[in-house]
Amino acid sequence: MTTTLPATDVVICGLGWAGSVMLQSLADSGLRIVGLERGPEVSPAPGLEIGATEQDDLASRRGRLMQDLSRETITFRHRRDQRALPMHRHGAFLQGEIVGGAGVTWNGINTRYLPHDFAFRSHLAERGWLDKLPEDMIVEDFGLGYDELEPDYAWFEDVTGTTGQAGNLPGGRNPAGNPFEGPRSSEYPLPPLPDSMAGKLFRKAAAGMGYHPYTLPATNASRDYVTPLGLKMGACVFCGFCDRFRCPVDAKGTPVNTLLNAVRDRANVDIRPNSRVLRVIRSADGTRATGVEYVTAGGEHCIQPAETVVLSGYTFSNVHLMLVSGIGTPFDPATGEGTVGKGYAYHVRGGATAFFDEDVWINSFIGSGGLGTTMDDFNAPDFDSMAHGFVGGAMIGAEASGSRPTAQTPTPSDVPRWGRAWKEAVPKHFNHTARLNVCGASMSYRGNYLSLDPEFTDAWGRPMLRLTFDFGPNEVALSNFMTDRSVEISERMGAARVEAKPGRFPFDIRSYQGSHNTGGAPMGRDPQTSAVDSHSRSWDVPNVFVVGGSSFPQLPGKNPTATIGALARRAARAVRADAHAT
Amino acid sequence: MTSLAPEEIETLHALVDTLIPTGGPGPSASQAGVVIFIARQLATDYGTGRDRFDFDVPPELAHLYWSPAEAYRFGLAGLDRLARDQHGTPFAALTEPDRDAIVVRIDSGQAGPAMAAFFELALQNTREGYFADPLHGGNRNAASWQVIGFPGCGHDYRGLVGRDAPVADGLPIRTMTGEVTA
Repeated sequence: MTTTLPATDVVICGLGWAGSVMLQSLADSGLRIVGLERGPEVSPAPGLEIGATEQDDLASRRGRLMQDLSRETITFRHRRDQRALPMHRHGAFLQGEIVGGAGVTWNGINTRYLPHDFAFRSHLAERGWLDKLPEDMIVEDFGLGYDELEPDYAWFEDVTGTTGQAGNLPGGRNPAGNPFEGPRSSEYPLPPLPDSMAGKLFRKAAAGMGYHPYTLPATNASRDYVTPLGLKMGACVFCGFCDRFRCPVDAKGTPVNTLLNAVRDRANVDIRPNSRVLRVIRSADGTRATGVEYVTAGGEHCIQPAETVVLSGYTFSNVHLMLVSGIGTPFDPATGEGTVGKGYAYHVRGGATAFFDEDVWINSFIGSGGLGTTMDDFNAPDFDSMAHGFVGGAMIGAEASGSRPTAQTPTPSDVPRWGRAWKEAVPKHFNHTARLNVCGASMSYRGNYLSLDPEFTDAWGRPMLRLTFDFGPNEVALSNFMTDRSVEISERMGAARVEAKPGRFPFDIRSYQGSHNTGGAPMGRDPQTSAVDSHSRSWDVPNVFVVGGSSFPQLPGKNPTATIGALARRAARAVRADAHAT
Repeated sequence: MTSLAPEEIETLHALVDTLIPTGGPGPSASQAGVVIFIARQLATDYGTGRDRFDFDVPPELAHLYWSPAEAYRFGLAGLDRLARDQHGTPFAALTEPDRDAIVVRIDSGQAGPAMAAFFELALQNTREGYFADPLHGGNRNAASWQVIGFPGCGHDYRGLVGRDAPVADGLPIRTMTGEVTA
């Protein structure tokens, strides 16, 4: 039994950051907009009072607010000659299943990419490195310039209450900010967060070594704030329950409290939670989308006809819907042809653990998701990565997102993992340990791609999405280099003992490394090599927009959310222009 | 598959107290309520595996796909089997050094990948029960938080960020359900 609903102008499939930016940006257009989200609505911020808080670390570890893997998951393998098996437990990354998506439980790190990140193939060509790349590596330009996206970055920072210190304003460079960032039209709307104790030590050490440390831009409000959309954010209280949690005081900008709440009562906006899109429906000749089919939590199947279809889920959801709906040509790793499923990438990690004496109080239980002191010296365009055997860069920083002891009780590697010696070591280090994290660029490869699984189907009978992925030698070399630098900085910070924390190779899908999965519907200027244009519009079915991390051709060495938000703002303008043209 | 038999509880008790024993700072695992915590966890959707996608797992990989309840059923029996083979008694009746020696064998992979997989899970769950909010039956009186200097949840740390001082000492310990008095 399937119900066909009244037609709408735009249907938005997925209400995380990408979909919520689209929905808010189109709310004033006069278009009728339906927003579909597979997860439930969340209640307002719970506050800090006992009995009201949701700060139960165990529940977060069990996947509260995350995708229900009993019904929908991906399959995974490292190489094409292996059989992929279903991912049955949350591990390396977390996908939200809630209105607001993973944007509800994210940390809030809100960094722009550097100008050359958008033209990375051209950048490598300028440096004369193109012919030094491995044969199976795929590097492309985004198909738009940083300058074109700058106003959208500024808008996203303003509406999300982002804290930070500009380093590159029209008046000149400010050494207190990031000297490597691209030109900015405006200062951040909120002042930077204070340094954590680890951040203070990092800043001093890094500056002393000639690096350029700065405060990580964060969507964790540093004071009470009313956004340009008229929404209120509270000041961050540094409670340390940020990633994997809802913010108790609405200091963390989320798609709900910075975008959806501004427009959800409009007559032309219809937000439907618990509505899981199963496929995009196309016209008989396949050239246009006519709507989507979705299923409610109660099991009712609905057809939502629409003039424009926006896919704005997590990277995996977007590519899955394209493949099961026949939008674009699936990527063939044997020939390199086709574009849907191409360009998958995932941040490579590394870093160091700095154990201090017991008279140095790191107090790492104090934190907010985006609280950190970092540097872009190795993301900068002049960094001679090829001298060290790789392309791409990384942020290295001391992040203080809040240590919670169920997962974070660091002990030196010569302490056993259990028994009396472990028990005695834990209290010596819990409040006296800092961690330096690497967020490393990941190039794309022919062998790393997304496709439909030939064997496993989800609860609705659709083939699962199959991930074939491992880090390449380039990413291993990058991670090792950045880990060595992290060790040097940690030693300079005065730690009594420093241990390298290298990345995990081969890729380990079981342990958390970050929810920065990108590609699969890469953007670009050429329909032969990209799946969407620089407005996130499908080359093959032009009234379908595929918005989100799925559109990155490769993954620069910085957190992706700001760019996702800015690209969604840009896509919304194109949806509007297309609608008015017809 | 959700409830443990009395002899399984005894073995679990001995195992968690091998991982976090008495002596030194703070309670042992069982004193902190970890046995109750794990037994309760095994009855949840997490424990039974109802929260995961169900499929016919290749037999050689079965141990990687066990639900926690299946893992404990296999692993606790395996601990007893190893103890009886070597010492002729159940695991729970062994001396602490003998228990340590068996766990070292398992942890180093010498008892096979399935026992090693069980051990990883048991170690993770023991730490969870020791350090998670007391709401779940472990971490009784938030004793582990008092020992390591973790003030718990629901705090406002404004003004304390970046302070090189024992900040936790001056704060009450707050849990999901109330403040703990030492």
